[in-house]
Amino acid sequence: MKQPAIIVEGVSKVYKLRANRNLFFKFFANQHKSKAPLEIQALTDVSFSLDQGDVLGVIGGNGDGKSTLLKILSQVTFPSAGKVSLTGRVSSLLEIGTGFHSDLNGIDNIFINGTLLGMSKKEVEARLEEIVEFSGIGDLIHLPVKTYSSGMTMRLGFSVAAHLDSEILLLDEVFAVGDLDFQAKAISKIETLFKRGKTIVYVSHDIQSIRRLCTKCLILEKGRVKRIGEVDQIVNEYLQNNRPMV
Amino acid sequence: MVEKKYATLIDANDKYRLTQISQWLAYKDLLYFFVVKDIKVSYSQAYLGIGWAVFSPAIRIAILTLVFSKLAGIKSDDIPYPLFCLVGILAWTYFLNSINTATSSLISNHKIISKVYFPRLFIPITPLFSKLIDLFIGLLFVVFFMMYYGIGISDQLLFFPFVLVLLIITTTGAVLWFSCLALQYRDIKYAINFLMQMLIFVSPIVFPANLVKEKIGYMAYCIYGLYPVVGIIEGFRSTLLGINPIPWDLLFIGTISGLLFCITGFFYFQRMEKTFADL
Repeated sequence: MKQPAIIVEGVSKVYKLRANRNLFFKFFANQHKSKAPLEIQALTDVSFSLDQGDVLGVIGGNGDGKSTLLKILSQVTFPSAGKVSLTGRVSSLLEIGTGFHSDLNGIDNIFINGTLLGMSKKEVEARLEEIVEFSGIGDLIHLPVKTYSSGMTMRLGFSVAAHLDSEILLLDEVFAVGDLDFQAKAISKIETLFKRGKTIVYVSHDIQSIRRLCTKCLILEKGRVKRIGEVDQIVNEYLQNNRPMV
Repeated sequence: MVEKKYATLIDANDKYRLTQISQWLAYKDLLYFFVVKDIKVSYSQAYLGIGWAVFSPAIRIAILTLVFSKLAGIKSDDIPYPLFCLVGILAWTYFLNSINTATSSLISNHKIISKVYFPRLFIPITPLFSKLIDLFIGLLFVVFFMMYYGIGISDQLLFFPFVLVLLIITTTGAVLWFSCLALQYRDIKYAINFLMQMLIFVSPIVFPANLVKEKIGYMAYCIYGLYPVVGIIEGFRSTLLGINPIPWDLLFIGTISGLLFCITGFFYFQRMEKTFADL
């Protein structure tokens, strides 16, 4: 039996850019009053719902609101209007290796990054060996992260993220990490995650990976839902309208 | 099946999100690692400066003793002046360092804030825990000085935890207000710098709070007590050293204003929290 995991109802997001960020002038010079804050409408009345186990691919151009949508779902930012309800534990991966500190060693960073992504200390401890093994960093794990190459840092970050066990995963394009070998490993790892019955919202420009991994697809255009439906149909329509340069 | 306890509801009309208390519990391990990270990072560099960490307060206390005790002739309520000063500096340093670290913390951690969800409150309150280490190391010096001057422990020490809690509550209020304001108004750090420099002179670090009572009157003394650090510093002195009675009047007034400061800071933080990623 399927039950809804994510319900989004009439969500809008307006970013207000304030011209004046200076308290002194606010009190003593009153100069900001004439300027109304510049508003950017990032999302307008977005509604959709996903059942448990649905994998939604979100496509759209730059500035069409894909990242804003993910940020609202992951509670990083708050909607200006509307409601979202999420059933299940949520983990968002908008970036690899969030919160890494270069002076601390790999193990410390796994714990910080893991708990930041919503795991408990126990959960990280239980998966620690697996995470280190998967990252392929080996004995260097006990050295400060500043001694790692940028690829190694990314691999470590990816390994932590890949061992999350939440029911809902929110992913921004996180595939392109590490060397070719690691990329292949990463993609197969992600595919097993996708097939484990998790509810996933996946934002990407890579139409091929959306076609391969997702069951549903949503097109955002200028902050509005343009189309949502079964992945093959939507992707085909999208490709016909926006012929990619080959 | 999905467990019921992991249901999240985001509603644009929620002003305060007090349901977050369950979130703090769910993320408590993160707070632990934030604190561990803070301590590891600051102490991995600190061992280089360990000599200075002992040397500079020693010189500071020597100079303060010379200027305020020997030259200005300030009485220190029958407490040996260097010890009087040391205890005051100890409480003040915790207050100052927590505020200095926390004020810029939301700005320096903005990258994490804009990428993942976690209780934002943990960022400014992390220094409240990590700076306790410095405070306890400082207490060892107090013990050393007490032995040197032959001052024993009194039963007033039982109330030290209460004063310490008041210090933490007051500092919490300050870090919540300041960190939040600093993120919104980028010039606030100058104002806070200035404020803290003024507060050094207002706080009874180099002089006893009793001086206010003697010179101006009891009314002024009570108003002075509204600044919670007054009661805290005098409370530190009386409970640790046991030479003077505990100033319950100052502590009472300070607890009320400190709690108010903390609670309003908490609500202000809750209210602003959801805009943090957009600033």
